[in-house]
Amino acid sequence: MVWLPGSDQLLGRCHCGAEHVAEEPVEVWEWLLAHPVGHGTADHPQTPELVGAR
Amino acid sequence: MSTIPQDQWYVAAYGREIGRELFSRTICNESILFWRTASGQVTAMSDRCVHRRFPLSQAPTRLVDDQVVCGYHGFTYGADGACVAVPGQTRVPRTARLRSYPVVEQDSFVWVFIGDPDRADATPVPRAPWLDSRDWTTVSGMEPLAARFGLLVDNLLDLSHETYLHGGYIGTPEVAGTPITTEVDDEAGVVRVARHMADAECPPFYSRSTGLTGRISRWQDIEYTPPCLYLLHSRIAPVGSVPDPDGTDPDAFHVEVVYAITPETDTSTHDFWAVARDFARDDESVSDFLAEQNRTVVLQDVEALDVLERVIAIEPPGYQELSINIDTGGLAARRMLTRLTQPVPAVS
Ligand code: FES
Ligand SMILES: [Fe+2]
Ligand SMILES: [Zn+2]
Repeated sequence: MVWLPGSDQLLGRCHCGAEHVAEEPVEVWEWLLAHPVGHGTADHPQTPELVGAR
Repeated sequence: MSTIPQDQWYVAAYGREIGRELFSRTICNESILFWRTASGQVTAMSDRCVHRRFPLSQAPTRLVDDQVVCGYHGFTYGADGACVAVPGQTRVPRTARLRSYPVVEQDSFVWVFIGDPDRADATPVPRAPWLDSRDWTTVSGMEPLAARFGLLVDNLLDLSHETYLHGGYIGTPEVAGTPITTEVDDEAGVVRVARHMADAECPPFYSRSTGLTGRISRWQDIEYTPPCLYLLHSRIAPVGSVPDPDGTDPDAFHVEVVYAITPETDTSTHDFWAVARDFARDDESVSDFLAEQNRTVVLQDVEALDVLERVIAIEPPGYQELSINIDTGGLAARRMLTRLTQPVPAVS
């Protein structure tokens, strides 16, 4: 889960590659744990270099 | 139900604490007796005599060669916990045996396995190799915490609290102000939280130990292996400096901050802390300074968490916490801990 620089948003990235952006962490963890439910489409495409940025 | 995960390795002591004196510590609600055999092996067994449950750590119980002689009526136990002699009769009841615990001495810690001993071999003991490495210099200690271990997990997984609770020691504005990346590795059983501050104030903890003046690049990379072991890989360097492509990092100072979070009871915790460094390794004044500073920081957390425990103990059920971005690591750790407390099928 990446806290997107310059914003208050969190980007969750599942091991399946699906991504989800939300404002608070409980929602993102719930989305991650729900895999594969709701992971079909990357509904929020992001610049790939952010993913896994440390 | 207890929230303490079973079938897990926990740090019970530093190796230096255990010698030829009987030593007792409560780990996960179990009162355990530790001692070192004449050949140097650490042993762990129940601290309650099977006869009338006299604590074996209590004088006049004593160690005679590699046997413990109970100070009340003289039941005598070997290093494996088996009773080898009872007073007044030659027959020793077959069931006269102290519960004994699997033990591993590694990385300066004594680890004990709590749960079904048959599961110990298949459960890896987490590593903190810096603590007894020749290439690092380590200071360490342990503080008692009158709070449930989950509160210390929350505390350590969210270092933004450094800015507020530890200002003037390790906290600077950038810690709370810098976004984090959180990663759950279910296969390895690790939660990782990274916070890389490219241009930050240097707190006294690092300026006085490294000699760096001015602003720094400060990286905090946490690896938590629930339930017990927490590692903070801390990298301090001049602004702009990054590790070389080959992985070496000659311009940086590295500190490995290690915590072992061991439940004593459901509402108290042994807070083991260690600080290992790869610079000024022979400078005792740096060792003294880091030990004193880190202990102070740990005690600031202890004070806060002791208060929090008292609040939680008397609050009505159903209190709703509010989580924000800084809590992503703590939430991930809680989820892993919850999974570890779920019962697993028995070994056949
Ligand atoms: S209680 Fe230990 S011998 Fe009686
Ligand atoms: Fe702290
Ligand atoms: Zn998925």
